[in-house]
Amino acid sequence: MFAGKTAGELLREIKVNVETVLVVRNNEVITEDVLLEDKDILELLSVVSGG
Amino acid sequence: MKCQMCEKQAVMKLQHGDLCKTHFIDYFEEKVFKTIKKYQLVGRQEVLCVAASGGKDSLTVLYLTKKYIEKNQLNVSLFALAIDEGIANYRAKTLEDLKQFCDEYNIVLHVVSTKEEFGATLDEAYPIVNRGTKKKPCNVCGVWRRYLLNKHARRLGATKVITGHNLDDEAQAIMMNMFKANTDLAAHLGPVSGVYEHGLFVQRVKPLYMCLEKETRLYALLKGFQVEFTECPYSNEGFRSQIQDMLNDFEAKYRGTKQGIINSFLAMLPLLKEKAKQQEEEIQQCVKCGEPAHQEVCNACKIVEVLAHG
Repeated sequence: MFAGKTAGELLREIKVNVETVLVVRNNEVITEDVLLEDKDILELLSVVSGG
Repeated sequence: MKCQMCEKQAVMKLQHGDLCKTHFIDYFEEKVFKTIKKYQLVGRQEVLCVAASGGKDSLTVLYLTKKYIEKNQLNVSLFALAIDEGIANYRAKTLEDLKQFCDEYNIVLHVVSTKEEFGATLDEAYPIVNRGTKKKPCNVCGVWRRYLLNKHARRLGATKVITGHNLDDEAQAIMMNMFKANTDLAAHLGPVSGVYEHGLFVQRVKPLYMCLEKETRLYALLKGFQVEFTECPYSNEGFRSQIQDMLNDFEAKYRGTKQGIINSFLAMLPLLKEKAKQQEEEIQQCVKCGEPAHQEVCNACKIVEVLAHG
């Protein structure tokens, strides 16, 4: 389901603002222009915390 | 997708290029140290109180302020001060993270609770104080936190209070004041808070002033700070949250929007401060507690009065 898409395109598809998350692929932080593969395990980390 | 400084995988896209983990950490630390130097946030002889919550911003500013002092061999001591407002399912965990962090980095931590100081947690106080209104707890929290930070930083001999406010926090505050025409409040913003010095106020400074929230989050993650990345349960409420969403939408479409707001604001800030100095009311001392106040009774004591009357 990820193949051929960049992380940024995926975020736009699921309506998540790129400024509000870090994308972690297979335990490594990636930038939004990285092409994804089907076997990738992704985690979205919210950047907002504290208060 | 490759670092502009080397060929490693990038972890962050910036306006001027992409950076890998190592170069991002260098870039971030250098930016914080430059901010401290440019705005003279830390002098050669100081007692610094870092306002700490255990969140990513306060742990980052605590770590980097300590690093700055050591790197420059300054005759400066530093301690952390946390306010426990008693927010259920939130503050106890962040304070635990903070205690572990301070133990690891050999930093003295003081914790002051609203329950001990005012007789109530925030969860207990705000439904009474805001009864019959749609106001959120943030009005009570803001008054009490500012009061306790200033009072106890001063009691502990601090010459400055360091806060973890980042570029996003500041851009949001600027826009909130702009939308509500609060130019006097806007004058209190900037890397050095406040309009003028006063014996009862400890000056507040913001070393993360030029750091985006996303950058700070990434830095804390890459440095392995054990932070519970949860948001305050009350933070999704209110005007600030809408401003935050709006700015993130603009930033995603037009990179550099938040930095642009900060740069424009900094160009205007001297004029705002000058105007505010001329209009500022004289600071009095609260007749109940002796802390600084604009009226006979300070806002923190007014809240306690409301609680006493149920």
